[in-house]
Amino acid sequence: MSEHRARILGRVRQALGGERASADAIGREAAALIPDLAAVRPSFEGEAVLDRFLAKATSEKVTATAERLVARDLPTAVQRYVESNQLASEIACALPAELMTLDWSAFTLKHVIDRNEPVALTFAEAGIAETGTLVFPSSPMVPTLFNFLPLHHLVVLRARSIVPYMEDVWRRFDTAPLPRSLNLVTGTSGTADIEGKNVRGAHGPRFMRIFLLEDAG
Amino acid sequence: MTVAYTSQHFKQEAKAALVEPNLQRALDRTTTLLQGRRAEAYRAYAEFETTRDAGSAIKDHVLCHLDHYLEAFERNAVAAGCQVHWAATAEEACRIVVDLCQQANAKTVTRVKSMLGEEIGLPEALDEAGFDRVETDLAEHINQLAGDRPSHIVIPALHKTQEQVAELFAQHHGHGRVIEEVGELVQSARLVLREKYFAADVGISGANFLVADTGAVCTVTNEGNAELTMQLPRVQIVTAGIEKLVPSLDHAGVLLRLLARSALGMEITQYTTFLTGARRPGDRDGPEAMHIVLVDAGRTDILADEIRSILKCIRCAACINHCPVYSQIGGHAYGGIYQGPMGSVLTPAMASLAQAKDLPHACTLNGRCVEVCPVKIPLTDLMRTLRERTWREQLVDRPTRFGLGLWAAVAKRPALYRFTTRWAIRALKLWSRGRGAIRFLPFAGAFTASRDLPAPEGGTFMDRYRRGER
Ligand code: SF4
Repeated sequence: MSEHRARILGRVRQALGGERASADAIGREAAALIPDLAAVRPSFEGEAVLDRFLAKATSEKVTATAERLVARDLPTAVQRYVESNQLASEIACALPAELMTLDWSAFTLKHVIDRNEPVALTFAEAGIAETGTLVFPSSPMVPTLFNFLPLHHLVVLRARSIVPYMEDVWRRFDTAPLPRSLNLVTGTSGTADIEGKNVRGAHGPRFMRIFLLEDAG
Repeated sequence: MTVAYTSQHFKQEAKAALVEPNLQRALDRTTTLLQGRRAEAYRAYAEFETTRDAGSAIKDHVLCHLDHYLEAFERNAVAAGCQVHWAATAEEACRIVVDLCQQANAKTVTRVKSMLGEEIGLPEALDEAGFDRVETDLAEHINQLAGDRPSHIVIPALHKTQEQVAELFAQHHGHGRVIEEVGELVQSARLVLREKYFAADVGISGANFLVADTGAVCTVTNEGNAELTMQLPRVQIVTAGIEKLVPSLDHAGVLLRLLARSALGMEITQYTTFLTGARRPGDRDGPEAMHIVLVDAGRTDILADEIRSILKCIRCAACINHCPVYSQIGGHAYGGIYQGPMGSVLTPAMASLAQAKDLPHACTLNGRCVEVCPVKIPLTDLMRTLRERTWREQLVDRPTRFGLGLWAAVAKRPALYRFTTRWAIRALKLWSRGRGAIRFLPFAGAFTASRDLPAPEGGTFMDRYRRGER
């Protein structure tokens, strides 16, 4: 194995030839490749971050639906969604502790997820306005599968955690290590594999509902 | 285990493809759609050109310092708890993966579509070693059922019509129903594959990007199959070409914006995932071990060659979708894993120029591929370089270059092509008079001067098809 490693690196160096630059020099060159992030991402100046996020997330291509509310109304809002879609009141749930203190008495919340789970309720750490994307870092609190197995994915997002661009999310990891799994999810699972026709619910969720919490502070 | 390239039959295959009605229908439907979607995404993104410049520069930079980035990635991936393996050849890569599966006592192995996996013959190697291999990408699932190779790097079952898929699922999904609605077809596959995800012992994927400064592996999908494949099994294996590196997340961001728009006209794919190591203390899911296999398989040769810039390719397929030759003949005629302009450069480099000598000639030089390539690979120049090499090495006679004119005509007027082939066949029959081969044709000039054409039998495929002789 190390023999293959030496062979590959040797051949790379031979192909490139010449003196190899120092790590510092390469680092400076790499940083200079993107002198201005504004030149390599879409601008939406003048559009409020929250409006942009909602417009993108609920667009035809992303296909989520969203509602704006305050935290205290979350259980009733979830109940309304579950009832109007004729789903059972037993749902898989992975919410942070502060949201578990709300009145969930109308539900049976379970903390494991089945292979054909109809509904899961999870929490997104951030939203990205550029594309209407939700950010889910894995952690003991938040198993990743809750975001991929259910047919209906219900997501709680705090309005204040919406950032303009994906680079704003990257900045959190300038000093902290990346989570094991960092999942950027933009709408529902889709496929265009049969004649390019868009179909939802390929392997992951077919429906996504975003509950946007607008509590002050 | 290497892939059996069949590019030496390119001309015959291309001709057959031109008159294959299902293929023609599928190609018409899909390439037009994809071209339109990309154009729309391009119009909506004022920064597309500056982003292309940056994307191209990032890829050039990484290739220039590839040794540095490979070592940095390895160091950071190992620090994050991954095991990193190196494979100089396709055989070695397959051997490593098969060994890892055996060590895991695996029975069922799920795979996410990865062109590198196809390229190194991993599906065949897994089958040969006796694993129950399950392709989870919908298109690859279709290809697995049909026993087909991918015909397009982004939409590998592009050659299949919806009707053909319906027949396959009726046969293999255990319900026997020929489903007419495309959503129901997808649902049928969802149910079958959901069981497989949970049965799998090992999940294997490729990588869209390897992030050097964190050791993260980035995959993008729309279906979410990568997530289920990589989160559920005990062991996770990533196979990636050594050219997949990017310096940091910021650099990945530039390329992500280009990739989704160029491939499918989207601003971002539905799922963009960064995996960094195996399950951590306290985690309730994720694999117990994460292995990354860095694969050369000819890449260092390309790095040392004039065609180095093809290593910048991010596999978006824009050049394929906009290629007039591809849109007439589809992917299988190329006889390898890669198609269209990028395939016409990569396949000769990966198989051999002798075997794939016709590929770089199958080009109208209209330059659309270069215009749409998000990392600005000069594809037509690279094909010209390879064409010259075929002449220099006397693999192809110089007059074949007039074949260019033929490709241009074919590409512009498929109906005319079908018409002329029919008449040509009648004329050829008269001309060959039982000799069985034709050495000279008055009306085809240089194109036939370089080879013997077999005397045709029984009319064009289209004619036979119409007469019901299938
Ligand atoms: S050569 Fe360019 S356009 Fe073609 S697949 Fe690669 S990156 Fe895309």
